[in-house]
Amino acid sequence: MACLLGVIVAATGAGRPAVSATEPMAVINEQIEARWKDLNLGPAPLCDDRTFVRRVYLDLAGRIPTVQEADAFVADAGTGKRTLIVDHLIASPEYARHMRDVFDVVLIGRKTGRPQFRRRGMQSGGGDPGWGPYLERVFSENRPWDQFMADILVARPKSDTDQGAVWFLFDKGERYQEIAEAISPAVFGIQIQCAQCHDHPLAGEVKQAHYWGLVAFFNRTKNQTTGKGPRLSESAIGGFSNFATLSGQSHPAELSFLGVETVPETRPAADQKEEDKPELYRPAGAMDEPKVPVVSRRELFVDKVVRGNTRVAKAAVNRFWALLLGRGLVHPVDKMDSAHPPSHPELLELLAKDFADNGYNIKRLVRAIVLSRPYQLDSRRPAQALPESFAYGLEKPLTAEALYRSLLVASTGKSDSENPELLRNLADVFPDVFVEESLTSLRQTMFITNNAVVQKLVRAGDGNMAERLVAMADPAARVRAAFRGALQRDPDPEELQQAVAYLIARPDRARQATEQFWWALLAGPEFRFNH
Amino acid sequence: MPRNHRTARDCGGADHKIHRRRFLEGTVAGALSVSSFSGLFSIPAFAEQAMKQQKHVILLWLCGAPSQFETWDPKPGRPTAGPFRAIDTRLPGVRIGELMPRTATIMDRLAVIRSMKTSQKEHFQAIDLLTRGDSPRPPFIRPTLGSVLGQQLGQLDSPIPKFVLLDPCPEGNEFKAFKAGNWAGWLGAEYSPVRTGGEFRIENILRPEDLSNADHESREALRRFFGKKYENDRKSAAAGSLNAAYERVKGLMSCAHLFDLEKIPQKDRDRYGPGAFAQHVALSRHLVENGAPFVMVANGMSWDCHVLNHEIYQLLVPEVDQVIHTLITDLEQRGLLEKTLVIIMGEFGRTPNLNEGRGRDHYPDAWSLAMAGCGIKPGVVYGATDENGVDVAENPVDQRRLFATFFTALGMDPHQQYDLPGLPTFHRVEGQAEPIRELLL
Repeated sequence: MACLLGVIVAATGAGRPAVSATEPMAVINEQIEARWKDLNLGPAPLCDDRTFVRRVYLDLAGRIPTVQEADAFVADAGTGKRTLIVDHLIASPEYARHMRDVFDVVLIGRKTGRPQFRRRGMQSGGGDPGWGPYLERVFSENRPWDQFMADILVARPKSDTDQGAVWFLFDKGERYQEIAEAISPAVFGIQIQCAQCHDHPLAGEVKQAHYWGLVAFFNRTKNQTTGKGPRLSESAIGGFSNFATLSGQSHPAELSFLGVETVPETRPAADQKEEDKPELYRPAGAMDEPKVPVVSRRELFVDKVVRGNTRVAKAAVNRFWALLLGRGLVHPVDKMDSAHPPSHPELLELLAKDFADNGYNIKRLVRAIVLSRPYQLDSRRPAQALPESFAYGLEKPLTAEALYRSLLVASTGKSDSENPELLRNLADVFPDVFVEESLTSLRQTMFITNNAVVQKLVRAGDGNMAERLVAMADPAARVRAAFRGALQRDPDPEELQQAVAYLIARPDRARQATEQFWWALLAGPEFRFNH
Repeated sequence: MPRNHRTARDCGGADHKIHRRRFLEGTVAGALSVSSFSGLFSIPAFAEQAMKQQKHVILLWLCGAPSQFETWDPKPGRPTAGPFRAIDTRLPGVRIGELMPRTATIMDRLAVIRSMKTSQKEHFQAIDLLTRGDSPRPPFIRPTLGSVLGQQLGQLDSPIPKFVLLDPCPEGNEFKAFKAGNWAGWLGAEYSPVRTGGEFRIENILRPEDLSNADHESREALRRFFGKKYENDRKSAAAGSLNAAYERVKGLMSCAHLFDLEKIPQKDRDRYGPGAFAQHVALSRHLVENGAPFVMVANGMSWDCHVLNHEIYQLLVPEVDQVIHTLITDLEQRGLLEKTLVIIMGEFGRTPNLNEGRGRDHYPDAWSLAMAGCGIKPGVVYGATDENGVDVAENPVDQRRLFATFFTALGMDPHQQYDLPGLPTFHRVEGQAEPIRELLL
């Protein structure tokens, strides 16, 4: 039906077809395919099973599949197996862990050196009921995105198990500008550092008043360490400041933000001293919990600015789209301003509306994207196709965590190994998530080439993959097993020949030659990228 | 690949003929293979000759942007003067900020432009403009000065990195964002800088103990085989960037000792000053001495003082004063100054009026920078601002004329066209912008 509509449109040139699909997956297909027709683009074919299983494991479980998992999928002759594996992965704890890792970087960033890292409980099974476990629960329980945002912004956990939610604000240590500069891209998809000193030079809707307004929503907040752990207190008074423009004019910082009416608030007169009276606070709650003002700016922010704000829905949709497709409908994901129009504006609108109308259901959105046609396309680019057409699968560099788990899966054959030192190193050298352009630094290649932790990983021992490879007498079998283990495919004849020649040229040091060849596979672009 | 208008190995010079004859006479030592070009560099005479023709650039990048009122273009007695006075220099009639007494004694080696007039007043856009020399034209990315000159001045097979970025402070707001971007643009990832700093040694630069030199190389050759196949199969720019970064590993490893500050005598280092910036400038001289074509020393973003100008500049300017004086005299004494272009600049200037915080804000309308060395006429002040430093009064200079001057000083044609199949026509400097003849030898 969608195809027919598309044909009619092309013939009459009547612009966008009416949306006939209602399910988000079908909406995605319809909108993306309509643009291909407009551009006369022949998309890439659907990817094969080997490509699909690797891609989907990386995107939903944050690791490559084991040889057994990949083989089982490919061998499965049943219909609808792609849907089944997607549902299986989304329901798995690894999905929640992968999303936790991604959104930890988005919301808090890479700060592995600071002591809070351990306190936040990021390592599996360790630490307080902290940030890491909280994030994991958000995704395993599939909490609504808007509720998730509300919980970390109001930061007054209603249950002990959700205490970790306070860390988003607590970690920023009362640095209100840092808080504002983190909230704007994470929640609204817009960077606002530029607006500190003046209205945004390129996107005029982002005003200096919005920057300082966002700061004002949070500048009554203070970190408090209680008997129950870290908490965010909030004062009922204070937090009235001004900001100066570059021309020297001074303006009061009001509770305003992009696209929303300023929240009214009584401002004390210049000489008036505010009194912090008990009646300005709600009756005391549980012991150790800081008192809550009757009028809480943090709650006002969530109620007036976040809830029901289409920007929030769009930013979330765009971010999950970017995570899974390799590029947002607005690219980069933190520049959703008037200077960066979306590649598919109607699709973004429709998906955002669907998201909001269906309880901001993250798994539902993720599932729809992953089962759509653009997600499943082969990554060999057709001529003339630009990335924003989504006419082919885009390469996505693995995050440090995905690289970590994938290296362990490849080198041990198991999906549950751990190597904290390796993870720490990788997070330091490959810190980025949501890159604008994939650029490899010399620092990164020096690391993979010479670092001792990486060398240890490829060395044969402990029954690992390298050891098993070394034990194979036939060099061709060794090469095939290595390709299967690292890249989830067989070598082509040229690759087989080159690798076998390498091995048999070094009969006096067969173990080292095997380790070197094994390294050569893990260090290359095919392992490094999701494609 | 851009055609080399003039290579560092110009055939026909007298020196070249002599060495060629000696080479043919067989002064080549032993069984040295000369079929590989890199073998030629082990012949001392040839290497020395190449070094003699080698030009270099040291760019002191004062990020955040220094105030011209407190450095090169003071306005004593005017409402815009600010908290500091002006002092006389070695050049009669030329005065600079009182916080630069040492530089004042070598003004006869420097050339100063006081009439910079550019268009960008936000850090990121201005850094982009003044490091690349022209406005952006997406999706094409113009390479930064270091990438262009690294490629032009760098010896083909020399392992020393063509473009080194010494970056003692890896943070720095918009500069940090800029550093994460694409420096080499259409020249390709191999011309992006080797970036180091803070810790003076580069991490992971030593070969793993259990890997012989030969195996280390062949392992990479095998990796490259698979990697290139993937890159070509998918026409993947991302894989291209990755493969190019691996190709540079060996070269950098062979230069490990050059980045070791401990190898420079303590007394020598101490003359530059104790701070990280000063020590990195000492390292830049050491790298240049050992053949590095382009070294950029980033000192940012402390110059961006929107507040407390008086206090902060008392910390910053004396340091850069000592650095400039030591670097220029050092290069001169070692016979390197005539082959080394030294550039001292930020991405714009600062406002004439002090704001409420007693600081100065961004100001691209009239600002200053300085340079010295290769191809530059010493002891020249070009251009002027009005009595309050609000606007340029004579000879405005934009980024194009500035870059045209840099290229000409180094003996390169500023209007040379890039050879970029499939891309629009680009030149080193667009619009036929002319170099400033008054600043050139």
